Amino acid sequence: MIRFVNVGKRYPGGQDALRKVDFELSQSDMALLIGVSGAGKSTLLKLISVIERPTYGQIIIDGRNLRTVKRRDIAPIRRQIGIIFQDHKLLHDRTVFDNVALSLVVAGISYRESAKRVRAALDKVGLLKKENMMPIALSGGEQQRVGIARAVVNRPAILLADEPTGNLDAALSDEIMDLFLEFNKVGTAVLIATHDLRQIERLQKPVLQLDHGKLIRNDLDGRLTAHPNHELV
Amino acid sequence: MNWFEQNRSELVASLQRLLDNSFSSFMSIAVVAITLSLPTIMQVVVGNAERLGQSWEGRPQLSVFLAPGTTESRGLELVLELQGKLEIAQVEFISADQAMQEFKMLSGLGSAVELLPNNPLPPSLLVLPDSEFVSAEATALLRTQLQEIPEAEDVQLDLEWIQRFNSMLNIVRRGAQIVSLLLALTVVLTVSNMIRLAISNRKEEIEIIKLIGGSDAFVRRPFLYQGFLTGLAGALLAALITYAVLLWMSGPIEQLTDLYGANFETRGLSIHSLGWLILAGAGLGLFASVLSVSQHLKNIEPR
Repeated sequence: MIRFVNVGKRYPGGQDALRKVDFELSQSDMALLIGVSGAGKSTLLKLISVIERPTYGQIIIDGRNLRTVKRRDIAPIRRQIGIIFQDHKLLHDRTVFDNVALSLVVAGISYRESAKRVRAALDKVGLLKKENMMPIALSGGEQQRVGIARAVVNRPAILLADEPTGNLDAALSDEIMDLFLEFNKVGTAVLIATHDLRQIERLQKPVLQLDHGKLIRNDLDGRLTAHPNHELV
Repeated sequence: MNWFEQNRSELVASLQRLLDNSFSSFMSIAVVAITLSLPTIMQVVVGNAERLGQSWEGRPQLSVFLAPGTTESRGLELVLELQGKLEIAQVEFISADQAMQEFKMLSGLGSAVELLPNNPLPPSLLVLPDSEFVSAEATALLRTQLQEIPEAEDVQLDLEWIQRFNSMLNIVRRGAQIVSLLLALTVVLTVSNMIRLAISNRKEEIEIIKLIGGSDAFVRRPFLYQGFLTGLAGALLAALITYAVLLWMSGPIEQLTDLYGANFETRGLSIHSLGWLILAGAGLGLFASVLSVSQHLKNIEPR
């Protein structure tokens, strides 16, 4: 599904955000991306969602190399990826329904089909009754769930989440992580960047650990390049 | 959703957006309308002036200035003689006294003229050719015939002032074309700036749309429709302004042309011109938005 081959990212100014990163995330995988702030977690997610391009190496998604992919081919790739942000990135002048429907509108899904899918996604995250509300009227956890509904409504092959439980209490965090488990069970590859040690221990999922841009732990291919180090989380 | 449905849906959404921001939308539309109405009014005025010129050109007049001292009875004899000719529709004798009366009335120099020891104006014949004989050749031939009248000192074909009028009209027409071009550029700059502001206001939304897989075409579309609709609405409003201005001006214009003996009726925008105005407005709006979008949208990428 996603293959990183010797991937490096250097930002202007000479700072290496990622160094020689190799891993492969398959369709059925759910992995947790961990590391301290500045370790390169967000850069890695940005590379997958083609917000940034690697300086060297190859990132292959469905046979397409993201380093060389043409600008016009980026949108179809992004439509295969559902992205969940810590700050939700919702449109505050649109209702919950419209925010979730946006993913389907950009994909050219008909209104009738969209309505059905949006309601199903909102039902899944427990917000069906709030479809006509504006995001500003929702709590942080509810806004995060709207973001999740928007990310999954187009049935993406890959789900990326950047600190999805960063501002949430333990109960809400569990609820949201359980949603990711459910999506993974139905065949969506999930990669979650998190600091949340409790969730790492609770979920018992493979871990990718970054330290200063280097992948020091990769549970996905069974190789442990370093011992798990919770001080780095 | 196919391409047609997506466009229809975006057209409706863009229209709704214009209505939601009705005040600022109206201000932009009004600027476009006023800018478009100026060249439109100029074109309509030039069109009416051309028609007026053509109506005058269609009936040239010949003035036969007779020798001073030609009596009224001789003048009337000449009228009878000329009226029998096939190529002449109407002849009128104007005595020296009548000419003086008319001059006093039209020039406003009545009291000054009275100081003259005698009337310097000659008697004349005003000859209107038959409508079958108004071509340049026919009027030139008639002029030669009239010059053969023994009392005729000079024969003038009253087309010179029409030629002057047409020359002036040519200058005005060129001026109108230049003004139209400059104002078209103004419409492009106005709409382009409006779209730049709209892009800037929706920067966050554009970033999110791109992040969730919105193509460049999808992101571009609402702004193109916004430019197109602003231009279209501006053109329709410009047509209304043009009609209103012409309605306001038609009375005095017709009064003026009546004074020159022309039975003239002003015409507003024809369906053809209205079509061109709408096409120009919508086209300029679309062109301006394409320019603005290609310039500013590429700079907005998700971070």
